Amino acid sequence: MSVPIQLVIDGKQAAFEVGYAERLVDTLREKAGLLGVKRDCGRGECGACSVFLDGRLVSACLVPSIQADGSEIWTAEGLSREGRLADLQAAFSELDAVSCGHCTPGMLMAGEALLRQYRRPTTEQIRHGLAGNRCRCAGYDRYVAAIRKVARRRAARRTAEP
Amino acid sequence: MIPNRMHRHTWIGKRVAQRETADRLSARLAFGADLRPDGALVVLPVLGGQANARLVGLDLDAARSLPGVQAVLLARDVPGYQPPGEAPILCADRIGCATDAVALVVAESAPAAREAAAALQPEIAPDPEWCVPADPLDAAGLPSCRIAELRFERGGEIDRCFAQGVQVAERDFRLPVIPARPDFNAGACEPDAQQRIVLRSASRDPRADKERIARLLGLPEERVRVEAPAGGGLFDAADPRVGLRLALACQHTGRAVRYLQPERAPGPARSLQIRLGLAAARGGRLSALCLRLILDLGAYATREQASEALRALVIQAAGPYRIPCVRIEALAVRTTHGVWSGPAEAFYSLACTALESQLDALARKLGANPLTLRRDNLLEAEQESPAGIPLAGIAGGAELTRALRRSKLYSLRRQRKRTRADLPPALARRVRRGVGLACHLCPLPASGSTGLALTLHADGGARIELGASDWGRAICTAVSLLLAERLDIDPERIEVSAGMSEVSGAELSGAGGMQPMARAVEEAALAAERALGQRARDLLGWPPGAVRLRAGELEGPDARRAGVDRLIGPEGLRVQACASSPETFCLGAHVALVELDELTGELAVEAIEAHLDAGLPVNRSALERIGRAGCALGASAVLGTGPGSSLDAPAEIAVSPIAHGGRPARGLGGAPIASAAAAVLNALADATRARGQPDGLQPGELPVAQSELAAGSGEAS
Repeated sequence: MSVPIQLVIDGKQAAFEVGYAERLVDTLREKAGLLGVKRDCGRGECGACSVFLDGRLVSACLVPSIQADGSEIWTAEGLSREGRLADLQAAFSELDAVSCGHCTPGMLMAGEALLRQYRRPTTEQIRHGLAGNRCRCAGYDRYVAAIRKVARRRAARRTAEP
Repeated sequence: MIPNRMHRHTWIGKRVAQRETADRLSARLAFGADLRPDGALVVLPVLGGQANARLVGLDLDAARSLPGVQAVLLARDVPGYQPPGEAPILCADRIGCATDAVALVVAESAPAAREAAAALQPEIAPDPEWCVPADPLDAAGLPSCRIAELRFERGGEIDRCFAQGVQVAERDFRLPVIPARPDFNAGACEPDAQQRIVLRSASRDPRADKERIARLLGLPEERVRVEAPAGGGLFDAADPRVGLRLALACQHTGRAVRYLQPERAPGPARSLQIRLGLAAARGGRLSALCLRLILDLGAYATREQASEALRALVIQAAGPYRIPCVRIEALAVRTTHGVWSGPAEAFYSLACTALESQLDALARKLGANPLTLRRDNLLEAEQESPAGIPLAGIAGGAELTRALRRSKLYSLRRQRKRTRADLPPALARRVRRGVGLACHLCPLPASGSTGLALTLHADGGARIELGASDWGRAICTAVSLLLAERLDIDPERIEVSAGMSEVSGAELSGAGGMQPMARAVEEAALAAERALGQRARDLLGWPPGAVRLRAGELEGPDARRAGVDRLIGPEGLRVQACASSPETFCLGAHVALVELDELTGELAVEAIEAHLDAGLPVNRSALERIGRAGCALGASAVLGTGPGSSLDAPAEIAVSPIAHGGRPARGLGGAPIASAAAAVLNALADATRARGQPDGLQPGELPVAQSELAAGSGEAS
């Protein structure tokens, strides 16, 4: 048995037929072709499949696709626009916060969630905010540094804006 | 952070972002699990689920009759030869490990494959004739489970050496059986127009995988090609059976296939037990080492693999010190655990922790500074390690000691700053600080050989194809820097691809590290210069003599010069090179600063410094990245399991290469991790030293149990 659902993924409308037990990570990867949403542990431990679901950070492997019907989803593939890296991606690049790159999409989404939650997150807040995202290459200190850098830049931009 | 000593180099020693960084950041880089050949079938292994068991039956008819199921493959469908003792691609009857597969379902879609796997309902029965223990200590008692032994004794009677000096009693260190990491490895396989089976799956050694596939499928090697895509995870287990199963399904169906990992907990990982005692003369010279080690190698390992693994661990556990009287007894045993169930860094960590923890205990008994004790006993280059290995190509102990004397963290220990100045006094008293030091000696195996193909283009650019696979493309980036330096061209003009089992029919060996890679680059550059010199003689009438290629020009005898566009046609000039390197070693140290909350027993690793001898640091960015990862992995080996999380990672990490003294380029191996955990544990002991408990808390098990920390912090307070 399958059920029709409608999603807005990275700003684009999409419709799928999904099974009752189907997880959002599988819909995004296998049906929407968004292979940047990684499927690793399948039980919410690694954060590799982190996406925004109606503005909230979720592990897509824990969300039944049916539950996401009518939702807006943002993935790491939607962060860069017209081939230009977003500020968080650029900071990851500047601070060499990329190793094998497998956890990177999830880490970027977790970082973006933190930056939306806190205007100037402390190191402790960032460390706790990233605790659900595992990096096998253990590059955590660089992720923390990159997120802090973006927070400072965004704060400076806000201050400069009239 | 890293001093720039690379004045004579243009590209080597620069800080260069690894290749494909933009693709990684935009989530476009395809890993094995992201490969989707058109019309690919799905391959799903069906696991046995228990060890020491026998496959009694499978409901093949039920599975094969389901819609979308193309095939259900069993061990009898493997056409080629699988030597006894090798990890089975599919179990015929006996199942040695819970994660062994008994069948492969090949289906049109993932749901169809899962439904068929469920319908198979494998009937598994315990096999009383095959009782391999799960516990390595039990396995050590069974001759049939002992795979390899390493015994080494020198310097006279060890008991007498111990009796004469100041000694620390033998202590046990244990890496208990912990949950293994899931294997994320996947990939795809398809037939190509030349009737070859082309496998794309993360691989440690594409060339070895190609040989194994050809043997198992009964094919000539030229009918198999392996291309390893980027791998996920610095230390991914990468079970090679993933690729073998894909190739089997591809051969059987004649269609493209992709792998689906079974959704199942990966089972327990392998373990390690060490017992280590040390003695020293009153003056502080180490006099005796007694080391016993039992390594759990899981359900399948050859004698050769076991001997190699034992030797590497023994070298690390015996350390980089001059010790005249040594007794080593090391044993590798077979158990029911998964073969590729890592985590490798935990083995390095425990081997180093055993020695370094005992060294600190010895320093306290002698009333010596831990750094002084190490300085007085560290090996110099070309001396023999306690494990009987002459150390070639390493930084000497004097260089390491100089680096440690400059350590900012270690100076905190000398200043005895044991409470936090930034906290109010009432709180600061509850947070105990400690600083620990540990040194390491890690072998980089001699088996690392590699091949590469170099193509020079008429426009001065170049292309390199590597036989070795490369998880994070660190080697790809380093190779481009080495070649750019050698030929004096911009690395951006060098295209690099990795993970090929062959290039245009020419075989390339894989699994090489930085050292053979650097040699292969030089060999390839020399071969290209020889070929261009010959063309210059033939086409331009140059006299015989040495030539050198620089910045797109060939420099020859009598100051002759010619642009390569005059010597190279549109097809380019292609040469190949293969190089291996002798076994070499990484010497280094970590210094850690920890804080222990006396009320909660919470341990935080505040900072770690890594002092690593990387030879010639080709890409300082990669060196720092790998060094930082090692510090974080070492901390997580103490605080938790697996790669840990951002909460385990040290807040501050500094990585410094030890002055290289003209040594050649080479990798780091396990060195960035090896002594990080040991330094954290020594810092914990330092933090918990108190009246009545002069040695502080000295856990012998990794990771350290929270209850032990809570009890230890209470005693310290």
